[in-house]
Amino acid sequence: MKGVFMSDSLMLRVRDVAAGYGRHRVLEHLNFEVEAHDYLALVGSNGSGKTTLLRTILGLLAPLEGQIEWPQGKPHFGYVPQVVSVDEIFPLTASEIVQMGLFGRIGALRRVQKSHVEKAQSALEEVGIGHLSKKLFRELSGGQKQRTLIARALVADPQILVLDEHTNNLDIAGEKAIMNLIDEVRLRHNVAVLMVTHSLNAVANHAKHIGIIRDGRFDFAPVETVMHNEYLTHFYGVSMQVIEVGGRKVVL
Amino acid sequence: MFFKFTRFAPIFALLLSLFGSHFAWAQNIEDVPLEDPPLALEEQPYSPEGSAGAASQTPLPTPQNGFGEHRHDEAEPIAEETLSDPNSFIWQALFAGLVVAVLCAYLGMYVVARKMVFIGVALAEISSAGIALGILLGFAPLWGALGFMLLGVFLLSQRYAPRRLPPDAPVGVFYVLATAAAILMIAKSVEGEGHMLTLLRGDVLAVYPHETLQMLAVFAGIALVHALFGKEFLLVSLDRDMASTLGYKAARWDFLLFLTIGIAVALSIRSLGVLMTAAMLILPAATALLLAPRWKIAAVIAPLIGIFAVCLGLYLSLVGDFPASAVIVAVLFGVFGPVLLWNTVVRKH
Repeated sequence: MKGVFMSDSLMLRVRDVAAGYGRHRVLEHLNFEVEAHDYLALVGSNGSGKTTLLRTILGLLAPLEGQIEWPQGKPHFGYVPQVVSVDEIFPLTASEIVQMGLFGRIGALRRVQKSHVEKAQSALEEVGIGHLSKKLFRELSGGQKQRTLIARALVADPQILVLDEHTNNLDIAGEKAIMNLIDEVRLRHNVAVLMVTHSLNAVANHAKHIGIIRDGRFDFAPVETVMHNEYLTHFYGVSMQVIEVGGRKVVL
Repeated sequence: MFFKFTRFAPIFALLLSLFGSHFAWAQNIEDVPLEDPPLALEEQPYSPEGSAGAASQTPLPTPQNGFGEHRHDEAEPIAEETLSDPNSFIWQALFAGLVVAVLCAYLGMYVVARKMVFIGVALAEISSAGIALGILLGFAPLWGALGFMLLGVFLLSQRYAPRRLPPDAPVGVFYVLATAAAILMIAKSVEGEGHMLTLLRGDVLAVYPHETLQMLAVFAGIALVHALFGKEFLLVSLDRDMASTLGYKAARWDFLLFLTIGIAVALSIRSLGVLMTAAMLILPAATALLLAPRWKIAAVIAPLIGIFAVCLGLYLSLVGDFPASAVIVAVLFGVFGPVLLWNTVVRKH
């Protein structure tokens, strides 16, 4: 399967990649391209391999086959992990969590300075929780935790924002608020967005391109192509219907 | 150039402190026994061969030099000159206990917060098996402890059939294996089970000054490494993937962190035994994490709890003629218990 667009501002090229752990191949023959400032969502059920693909793209896992290429050089990632992956036993404040996003810049042997604390505060204010900077991360609500992690990803001015199941454990209102926030920061910071999620509805009205993963199969297309009855019915093998409510597309 | 030097300064410091401690050990080996003699053999000098004929080669420390006299009768009233002599066993026990309390309690913060308590205890047991090997084969137990500690760090950092076995199962296997190996090696050594008691129970009152100096030198190196790289250790502990996306080699930072913990554990066990080392690694940190509202505050509280327990524990041990390590553990639990109760009952509501 091949990505359907090409661009001069190509940021990422995934060429015939097989992703997995050890000798276990989770996904094979992956081909797609992402341009700068794109908004790509990888959609699949739990265990489908979308997080494996994300970790492979980030370089946390080596591809079992094929190449991950960054034509303009490896970009600066702003990584937003699943909230549960951040250990809450460590008694750290929201500000301290966000400051960690600057550690790569500060470097080893150097301490966190006042300017770094101020930058962290600005990032928290940008995502709407500046007043919670001194509160412990574990005491925040699910949505506030997610905003903290987005602030941590943004604080070092990334070129690509990478989000892993960032709407897990959020209710519909929380999910919508976070998706709108990502739209805002994407435009404000002029960054590309790459996210994985299990909910097609969550990204249907936000992403520009969608990669769907199911039973080891992968397809990649612009959102306008994906959000059609025929396309989804053909891909999933069951009857799917896309309806439009208040200008927003919903899959039933 | 300067930057390159400062970047590797902690490594140099660690190597220098290790070298220094080895030098200190080499200096002292001619004057004092390699290892604390077992209680059952108090009147016999220690030698790797264990023969009585070795007495003339490795004389026991004399009462004049201040350490060793407590072995003759710990129940005797403490003489005033003993308290006034900084080389006496009481002060040596206090110094050694404080050194271990400060560093192990701080390092224990990572052990507890990263849910590695069982790994920490297993590492301690594996190090003690190294000490047992040293006693059996007649080489310095410290090197046995350090060698086995490195082996332990390697073995415990591997993943064994992760889809079929939970991660703590191999840790448990290594724990019982190391315990069994230590028992077998000690049983086959000439000195016999007296050493096993000392190894497991530990005896903070039987620490030699050179051991304290070794620990101080090495622990200073470890403290320097943590002062310089504390934020990196915290980042890889909290969110390993995030650290990797920021360009950190998370596995290398983890290895350095585990190495500092392992070295501290190995040295502490050699001098104070498995019990007190494990207790200092777990209880102060667990108490501090329950008490403190911030990581930085907990990092100060944990060593303070360790210091308090050593001071009070030693005092109670001397006054009541109790085994010191066990009393220190009791004091640690005396602090931890109410704090846990308060957090479980009061804070919950």
